[in-house]
Amino acid sequence: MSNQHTSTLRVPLVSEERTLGQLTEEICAPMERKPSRMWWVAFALAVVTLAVGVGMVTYEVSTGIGVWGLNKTIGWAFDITNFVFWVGIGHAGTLISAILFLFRQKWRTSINRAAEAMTLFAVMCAAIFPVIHMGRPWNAFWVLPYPNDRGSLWVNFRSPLLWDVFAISTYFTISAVFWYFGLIPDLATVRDRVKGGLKKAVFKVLSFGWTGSSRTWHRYETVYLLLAGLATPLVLSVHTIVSFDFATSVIPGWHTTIFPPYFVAGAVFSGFAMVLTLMIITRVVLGFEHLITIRHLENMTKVIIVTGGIVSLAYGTEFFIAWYSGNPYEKFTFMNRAFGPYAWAYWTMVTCNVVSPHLFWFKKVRTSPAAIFVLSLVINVGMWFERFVIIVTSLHRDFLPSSWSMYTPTVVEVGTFVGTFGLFFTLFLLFTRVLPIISIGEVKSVAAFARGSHAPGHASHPAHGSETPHEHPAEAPEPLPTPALAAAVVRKDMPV
Amino acid sequence: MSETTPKYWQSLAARDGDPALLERSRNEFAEELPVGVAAQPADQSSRRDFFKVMGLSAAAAMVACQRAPVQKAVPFLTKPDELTPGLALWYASTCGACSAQCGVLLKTRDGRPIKVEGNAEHPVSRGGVCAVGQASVLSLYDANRSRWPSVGGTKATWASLDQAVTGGLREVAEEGRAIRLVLPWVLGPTAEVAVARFLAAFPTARTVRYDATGELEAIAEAHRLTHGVRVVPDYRFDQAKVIASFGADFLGTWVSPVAFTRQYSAARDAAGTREMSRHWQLEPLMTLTGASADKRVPVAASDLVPALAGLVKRLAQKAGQAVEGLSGVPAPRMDANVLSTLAAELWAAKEKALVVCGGDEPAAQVLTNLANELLGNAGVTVSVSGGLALDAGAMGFGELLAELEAKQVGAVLFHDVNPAYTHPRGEVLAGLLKDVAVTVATSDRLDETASLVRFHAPDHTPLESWGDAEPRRGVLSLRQPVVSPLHETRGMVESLLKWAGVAQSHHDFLRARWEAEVFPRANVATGFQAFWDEAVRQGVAVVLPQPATTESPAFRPESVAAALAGRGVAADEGLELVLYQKVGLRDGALANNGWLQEMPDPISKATWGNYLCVAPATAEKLGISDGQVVRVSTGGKTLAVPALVQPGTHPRALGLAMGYGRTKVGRIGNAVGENAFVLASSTNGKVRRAALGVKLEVTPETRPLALSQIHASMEGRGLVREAELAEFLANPRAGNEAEGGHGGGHPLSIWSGHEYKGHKWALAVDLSACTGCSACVVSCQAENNIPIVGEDEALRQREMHWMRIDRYYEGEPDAPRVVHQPMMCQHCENAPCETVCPVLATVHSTEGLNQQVYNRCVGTRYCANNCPTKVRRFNWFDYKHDEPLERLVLNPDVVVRTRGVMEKCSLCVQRIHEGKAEAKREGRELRDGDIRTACQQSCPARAIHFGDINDPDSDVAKLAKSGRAYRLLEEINIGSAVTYLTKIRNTGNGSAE
Repeated sequence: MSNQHTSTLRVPLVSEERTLGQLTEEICAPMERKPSRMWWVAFALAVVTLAVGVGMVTYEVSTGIGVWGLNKTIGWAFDITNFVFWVGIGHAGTLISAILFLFRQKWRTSINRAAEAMTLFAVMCAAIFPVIHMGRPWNAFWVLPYPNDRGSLWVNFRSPLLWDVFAISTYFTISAVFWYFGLIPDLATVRDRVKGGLKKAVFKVLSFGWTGSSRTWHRYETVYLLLAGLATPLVLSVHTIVSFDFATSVIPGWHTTIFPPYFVAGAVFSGFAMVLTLMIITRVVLGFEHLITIRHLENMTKVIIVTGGIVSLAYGTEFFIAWYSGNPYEKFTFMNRAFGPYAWAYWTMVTCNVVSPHLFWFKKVRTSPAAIFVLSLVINVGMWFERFVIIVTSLHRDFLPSSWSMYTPTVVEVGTFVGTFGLFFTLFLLFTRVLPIISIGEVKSVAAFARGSHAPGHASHPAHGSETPHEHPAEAPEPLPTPALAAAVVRKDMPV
Repeated sequence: MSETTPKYWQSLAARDGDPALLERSRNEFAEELPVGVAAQPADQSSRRDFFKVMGLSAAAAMVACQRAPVQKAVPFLTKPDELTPGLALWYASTCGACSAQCGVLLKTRDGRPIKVEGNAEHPVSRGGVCAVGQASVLSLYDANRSRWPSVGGTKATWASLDQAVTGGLREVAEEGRAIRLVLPWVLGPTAEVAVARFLAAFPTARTVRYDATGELEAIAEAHRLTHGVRVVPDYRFDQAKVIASFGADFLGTWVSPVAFTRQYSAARDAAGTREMSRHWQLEPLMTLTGASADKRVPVAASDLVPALAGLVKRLAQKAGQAVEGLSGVPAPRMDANVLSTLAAELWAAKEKALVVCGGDEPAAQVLTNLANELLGNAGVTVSVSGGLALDAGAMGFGELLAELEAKQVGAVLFHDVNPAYTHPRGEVLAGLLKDVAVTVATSDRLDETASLVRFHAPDHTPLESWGDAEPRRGVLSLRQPVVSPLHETRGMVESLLKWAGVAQSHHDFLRARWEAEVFPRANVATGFQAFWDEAVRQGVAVVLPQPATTESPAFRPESVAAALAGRGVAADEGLELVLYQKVGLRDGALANNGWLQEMPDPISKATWGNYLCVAPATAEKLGISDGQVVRVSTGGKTLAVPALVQPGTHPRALGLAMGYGRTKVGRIGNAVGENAFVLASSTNGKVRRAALGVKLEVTPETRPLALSQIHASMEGRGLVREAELAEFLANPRAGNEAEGGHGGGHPLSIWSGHEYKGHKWALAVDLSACTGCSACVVSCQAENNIPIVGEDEALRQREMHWMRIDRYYEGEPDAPRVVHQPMMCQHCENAPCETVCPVLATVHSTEGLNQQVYNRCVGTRYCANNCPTKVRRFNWFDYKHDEPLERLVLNPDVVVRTRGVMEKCSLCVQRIHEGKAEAKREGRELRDGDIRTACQQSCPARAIHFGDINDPDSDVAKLAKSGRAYRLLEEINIGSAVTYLTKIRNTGNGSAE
């Protein structure tokens, strides 16, 4: 990808002219300066919210699931809704980092790091729920197939919940490896910028002795490509398997073959919305408007239009099949969704997910960060309600009318959900402080100087960039005789 | 500490010895920890609560590391011969929970009774036992029972109490002042003899008979008028071809519901006998009996007597007899054709018809007797001579109140009655009893009445005492103690004898009476000892009736005019309140019983508390919705109760259940609901509990009702299938045509299915027999250690019953048709729960059971979500069995589940194993009927059948092949192991939907 040709007609991905050194400085700056007052306020808020969540979970685990609003008919509600919601959020990271990488979408470079981090944090938030929703969470390890001394006890490989365990853990592992692997060159950059002390030692270990040599870069890129290939099926698998929780059951409204593609599209839809929410804040707060440009935002809104369309189609198909199948239970469930006691939730979902994305057809909306921000929140609300509608409205009125019931969440459930946002933002805010939130190495490859036409006084750089087989040439004020030597020389005192 | 050491005080209150402060200082924590935050409104949790919760959880984490406390099992030094640990002993006895006195078998384990079951050998109840009877075993362990006798509220010894009572009674008798013994109408023959001895010892003593609900009293009073004897006749619903019930809930609460249910279902076994009785029900409120009726006509309470009079007029016309005294009764405000059709049908079934009537009005009972007389039913469906003779010389409670007000009474003894709570003028007792020298109560706790008396001599529970009963003349049912008294209580018979100067134990007295009076009538060749042993073993002895005559006393036609005198005025068109008994709680004597409080009412499906039943049309007119608080005023008294829109209620009728709102029954029953008894009217000593003119005020306030079932319509799903009798006789598959269609065979399966080489357990439920009485629900709860969750949790729809009875309405809300469907785990062949459990905590057994492995369960609730019949129950909390006494009721064969695990019906797997082990021990094949599930055992209607479906000769296999058989949700191929049999109705309409 490094020697790919970029048309001058294209809007530049880095909108302002920056030297490579400036880029490094800019991206590393948030880690190196003292946190701003705003960061502290945000962090305090996030930690307090997290503490609320911890308190709620502690109370729930010590007292019993009864502190939630569930009942004999409705066994899942907020817990699994939140689980699917967060897993869905976690989808954008892999999509951006793996699929867009394979499709050579260069615009991913300035958002992939943060999106991947978001993925990890979202999956962490998601993983809380399958554990705490158990009646006896201290026995959660029983879902793992490990050799044990409890006789012939084993796990049930027919259970979609077990598939979830594998799907989520695999997804988390691959995402974490992929994210970490992509971080290594940047970790070395940070290592080289740090003067000394503990921080230096830590980054030294974390950067795995990165030298920035041509051979290192070569291997790095090969492995990155392979990992991207490995992660790609996961984009489809995770939410497919999550949807199996419902699709393989017998409950009308759950028992639906359309669920796997529907869930994947919904996950990408919500994931991109969440990336937008975070990126719009980040670019303003950290002054990265030239790195995360309107074009980035616009591209993401286009993905939202597409996935939103798929989701809308799925909603329609569900209703069509409910009618076309002639299955009275299914027909009832869908009529009940749209016109029953939870109709408000259904129509909230439709408004947010079906109607609101279409505003992105307007360029004005698509290019206004404020409008995008609002709509991204709306979509996330809609996607949360989608899962709520699927889970609760299907369960609350199933086959036998005698057990029909209603569900109202308790303070504990709402508090736990809010608490996961606390966890998410605590982690994300820490992330902005300790790691470069934009891939320094990758963003340089799409910087203006790499485009050849308007190199601002570093005449050698365009040539350098196009000559070397790497996209990450070592930045140096002066051209150096050979890349290998450059690396060897620069390593000592220069940021890579 | 020396006397001179100065005592420093903390505050003025401490210095003055403020008792409240002292009490507080004994507690480690000044305030109680808030439990159930979910129950609190959000704005009530404070910072303090937050820290408490945090601190508690940190402490909990550390406490969890503690070793489990060592518990020691102490073996017997000398083991009783009959006791084998792990084996249950069964004793035949007589239920004492209500006046029906059914025969029961009591299961004891290691010396403690744990289960009440029906005694199939008993000629009256014939194997059934109702929910109340089942629950009486829990009342034995009620922690709020009195543990010792007391005098003036302080603990006393029996000797000192006896001395004081005897002395007091002698003194009163010597002064010639009245001694009054307030008793229930039904005591049992031996207890009656003891009462007679007491009366003989104190010449000024008389009995006062009290009936909280007035039903027995009205029947007895009417028979006194019409036949000259105070008797509750022996009804034979199995002999009746046409039954007309005017507000009598004979399947639920009236006289002897278990026996009547057995008889009723025997006469309605369309599949077996090809015949079916026709059941008419005219009633103001929707009752359990009305729900089973073929023809149900809502009639206002004030129109019951006019309706009966109208019926009698028509019957008299057909009989060609003239009846005096009916002219004054106004015409009933109902469709006259109903009465004409009913009269014609009754007349056609002449001699094999039966008219019964509920309520507390003797006039209505007199008309009922007249109707039966005109139909010639005497001796066939209703037998006065075979009935239960009641105390002929007793005074009414109204007379006692008058005497008390006149200060003529020197001593009052209350036994098994609670007028301070159940009488509309109960509140005056407190003042009146102050002027009585000797006041005694033998109730099992310091209840509303007992707390007003000086001497409290607590009686045994029926499970701890000897006794007998004569539910039908000549059928002597024996009661034996199955556990030695838990507390320092003493049988009431023994107390009475002691005070009367007879030093004989209850057992000796009973045995002596049986030897002298019962044995000679027994007509057996053996000696008395053998007869007695056999009677104790069987729990019942059938002897020659005493008096031996079966001649029924003649009907006195002149009584009708007397009974109906002054009934000329038609009631106004206003709303009428009817106080009724719920199937679970009846008159509220067992209000401290959690099983009964939590048993969903068979009709309204409400648990915990009472509510005003309002007809849908009336509710719409007045703007009343479910749970809306209404203020009911009558006779200067007002109650604020939540309303419940009850289909089938007559538009002018309002129903409020008695038995709630107790104040001194114990921690479970106190302050549950409102006391409806206070709304009854009491004029001239006559209490009326129906057709009370009331004023209704609708308030904006709401009080949620803990309903176990919210939705009442079947939504057109073929869950309960039914057919009309004529259709069924022509085609056994009538109403069940869908069965075996697309649902029957799923031809395409890539899996061969489970293989059952040995047994395959299955259930069959006869929806035609099931009346919905819910005896099975409580039986299941007792057998399987199912916790009581309480009102708050029931409001959240988290009751734990493994077995429930679904109730659906169909048709017009004002006169709906009702169906009941017992619902338990269906033990599906392709169980949706089994595939989804990640840890294999629910698995299929080799005998077709769907088994739940509690200690493997991690509680994902996925199985419950995926259960199409929603029969799985989750332990939302640790349902504490923390009252040591109440813990004794637990069945040791069934594990008590911890929080966080799923549970459900196991088809009584412990009974299956017991049955198999027993057969193996005896070296024989298991026979059909060896194993009976708890629900099956107690069903008075025999609607539930259990057995091995692999055995083609078994009951259940035959039923599963019958034309009436269908399985739920065949279309999703769950392969239910429970077969339902279509409901057959005999409405005579020719076609059913």
